[in-house]
Amino acid sequence: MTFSSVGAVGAPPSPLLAERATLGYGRVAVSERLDVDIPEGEFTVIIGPNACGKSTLLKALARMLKPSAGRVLLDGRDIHSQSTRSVARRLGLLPQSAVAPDGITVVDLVARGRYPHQGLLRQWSAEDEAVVAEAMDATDIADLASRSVDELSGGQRQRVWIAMVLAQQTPLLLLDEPTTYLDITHQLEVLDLCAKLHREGRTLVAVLHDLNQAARYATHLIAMRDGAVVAEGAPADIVTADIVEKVFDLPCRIIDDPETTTPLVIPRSGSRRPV
Amino acid sequence: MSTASTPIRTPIRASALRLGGYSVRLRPRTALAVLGCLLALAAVAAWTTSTGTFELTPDRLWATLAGSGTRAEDYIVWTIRLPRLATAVCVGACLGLAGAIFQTLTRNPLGSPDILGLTQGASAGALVAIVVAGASTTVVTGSAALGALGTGLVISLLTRGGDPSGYRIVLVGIGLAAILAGVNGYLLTRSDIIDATRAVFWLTGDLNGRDWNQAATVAIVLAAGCAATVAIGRGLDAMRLGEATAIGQGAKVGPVRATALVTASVLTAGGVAVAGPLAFVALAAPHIAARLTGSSRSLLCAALVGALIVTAADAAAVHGVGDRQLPTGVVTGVVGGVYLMWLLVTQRKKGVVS
Amino acid sequence: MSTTATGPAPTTSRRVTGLLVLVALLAVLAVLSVVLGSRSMSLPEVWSGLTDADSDAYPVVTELRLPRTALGLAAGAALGLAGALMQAMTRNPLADPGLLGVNTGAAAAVVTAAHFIGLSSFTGTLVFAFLGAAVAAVACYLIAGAAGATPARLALAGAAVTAAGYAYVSAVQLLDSATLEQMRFWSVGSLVNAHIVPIAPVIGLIVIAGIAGVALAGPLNALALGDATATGLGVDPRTLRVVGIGVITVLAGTATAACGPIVFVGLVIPHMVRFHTGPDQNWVLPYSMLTGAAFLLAADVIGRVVARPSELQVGIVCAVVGGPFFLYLVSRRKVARL
Repeated sequence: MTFSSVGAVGAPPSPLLAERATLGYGRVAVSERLDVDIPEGEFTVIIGPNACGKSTLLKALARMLKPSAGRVLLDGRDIHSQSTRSVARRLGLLPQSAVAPDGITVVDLVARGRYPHQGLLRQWSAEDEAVVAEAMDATDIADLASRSVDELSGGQRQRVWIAMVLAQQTPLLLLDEPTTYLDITHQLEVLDLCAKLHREGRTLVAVLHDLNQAARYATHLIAMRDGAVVAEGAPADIVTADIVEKVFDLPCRIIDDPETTTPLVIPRSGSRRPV
Repeated sequence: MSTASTPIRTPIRASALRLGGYSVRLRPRTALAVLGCLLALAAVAAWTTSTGTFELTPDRLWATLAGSGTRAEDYIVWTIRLPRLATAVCVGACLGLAGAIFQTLTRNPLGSPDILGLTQGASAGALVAIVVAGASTTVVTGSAALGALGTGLVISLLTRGGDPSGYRIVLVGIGLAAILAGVNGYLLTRSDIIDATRAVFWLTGDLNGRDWNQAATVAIVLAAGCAATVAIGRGLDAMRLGEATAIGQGAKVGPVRATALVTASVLTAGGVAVAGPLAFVALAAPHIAARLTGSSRSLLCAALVGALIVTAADAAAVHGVGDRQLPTGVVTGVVGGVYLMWLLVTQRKKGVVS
Repeated sequence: MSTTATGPAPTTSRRVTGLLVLVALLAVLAVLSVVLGSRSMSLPEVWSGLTDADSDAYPVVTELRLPRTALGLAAGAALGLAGALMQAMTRNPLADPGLLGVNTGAAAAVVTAAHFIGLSSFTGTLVFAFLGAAVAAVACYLIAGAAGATPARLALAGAAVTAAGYAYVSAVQLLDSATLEQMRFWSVGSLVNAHIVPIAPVIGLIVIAGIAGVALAGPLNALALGDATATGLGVDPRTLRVVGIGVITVLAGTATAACGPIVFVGLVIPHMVRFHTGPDQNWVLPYSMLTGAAFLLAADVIGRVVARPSELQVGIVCAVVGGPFFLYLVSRRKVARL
């Protein structure tokens, strides 16, 4: 049973959606007949307990995973029927497990993000240079340009990866747990950056594991459990004690965050269900 | 993205050559390395063409190359030394390039055609021709090429679909290498001593007596391999960031990987069929090239370093040990091995290896 | 037990069962190895061969078959364990004991002895081979930076030593055809000299090194998580590497010295074992020993039976029979990572 606070009639068509998609690895299905719409112009965050299928959903939306049934549509057409290069110009992906080649410098790595806009004879245009400079400014790593990525701290490295995805210049950005392994300051830095990108007009979809951060930054939440969407809508509507308990098995109470007036989840003490 | 009202504050040290809507990236360090290799290659080539039992002074060499040499000079240079040189350059380039592609494909510093079984496949083909059929050089060459290609084909068939990482290629490769090594050992024990000697000789790798036909064959293979590499070069480079990121950037990972495997197999086949399994070139050339160019993986540099290794080794094999000629494979093995050992001993810091 | 997307995790009972099956298999193979051969014997004949010193079967059984079976078991176990240790230490699936230069070192020593000293006695060759293997392994370790040897550097150093050594071996063989003749049979790896191998020292060395090796299982599990995490868990990676290389050298060096280089076992057996046991070294190491022993013995039996009255060397059978089976495993199953 899904609780949805998204208005259905008259809403603009989603640029990215999953339609009755069955997703899984090998013969094990993680989600079955999943319908998910990513609303345009929103900062969507997918939350849920471990192994609820949120990363799998993100991968399917990013065309990394092909649904065994149903489809994923980008701009109304099946994402797998479009050339992967043209998809790369619409959709940028920051995966969890990105590998940096040994010894690569920051500017070289950010420049890699221009791949879908370049070709054999269009290797480094003036526009490429401008976009990369801007991406590095936006993520505040301009002074690290010639450093080796191996030498940077976790937070700095994550900003470099985000700059790389920014350099791809896509209206849609998918981020798979962008705040893992970062300390709290850097986590908020990354999320503030995402919020800024959203304000500039991009559509963002992020998988986050921190419920309170999700409630604070998202403009649209999708809560999943066991491969299905349990609730979706604005944080103020979705982050309620009932829904949090249903999704996370976590008895809690909700107050308004004194700083941002978004919902703040306070887990109840002493009465948590045994794992 | 307006650049007029927001001046770029960040200087980016990435230079490029631009004309119209086209641009080519310039990497100074890579360019220098390439230039250095070419110069070294030219030097070795000049030396090896003019040295030997029949010595040529530089002006005589120049005259012969221009077409006005004596009959003896013409014979020595055009029929004996130049074809051998040309073969050495092309074989080295083929092996260096194949090694670089395999290392990127498998994302393993040990990923080379030797470890992945293609060299053993070529050897098996050659051994069958020598031991079972007692065949001529041409047949041995063709058979070796078929062996390498066959092995590449088996690898691609067994790694189709399923897990897309380089890990599976690696495992299938070492399995095949082990099987073929067993087959080769068997063939060696079942032959008579004459065939066995011939076989061991081929297995060591040598460039003695290579003529223009063989040089031309390798050159064609090299040209085809280069064309294919140019086509997939960007995609291969994108794959260095990991499959997920590469797909996210719009690289056609599946076709690129398949083409890379075929290209590297064909290059290996060409090189090994003509010169035998020259030890170590495909493994060492990419590492040395990486050390010269920093972090950017220049496939061109790997090919040139490979050519340089084989040419220099061949020169040493012919002239190095008094009047006894050594097989080139011995020199590449010893020199390549010693050089890599020296690299490892002197470079204690991380970042140089692979 | 948790169910992952790839199937149920291997349970302890499943692993124990596998171990018992392997031991039973070994017993069967050992019996077969004594019974079968270029001349088949019936079980009563074998029994009288074992107990009655005057029977016809006695010399065959006690001087040929038993030593051969024992050597096959010991060498197979040694190589399987050495391979598993090597892959765990270098965290690289391409690693095998030969990568430390063990095979090439042994070959180079044998070739040197044959050509420059004219040595042809088997025991002499064996000693040289062992020393050569040891020297090569030590050289490898030192070149890779001794205490600072990371897995990648170790692997590269091994490749360098192997290449250089192999080139030397080829050169000497081509210079001297008598040496070539001797080497081409030695290089294949066979148990045919089991009756002249000093069995007791060989098995003794392997047993001691084997016990030391299996004891490394815990530290190796920690090492698999990376050097930093291992140190955090109280394991010193550098000491571990020294001890590990020492154990591998004794295991592989002894086996290679006694039988010649048998490549397949150390390289592929650990992969096959990990399909069943997962990455826990406490299981991988003993399994590798038993599987290696079973595999080598089976290969030897097949080699003796298939090519009667002569025999197909065990090194060849290992590669040709085991290889396709390994490829089948790789292409079908989801690969268990190191």
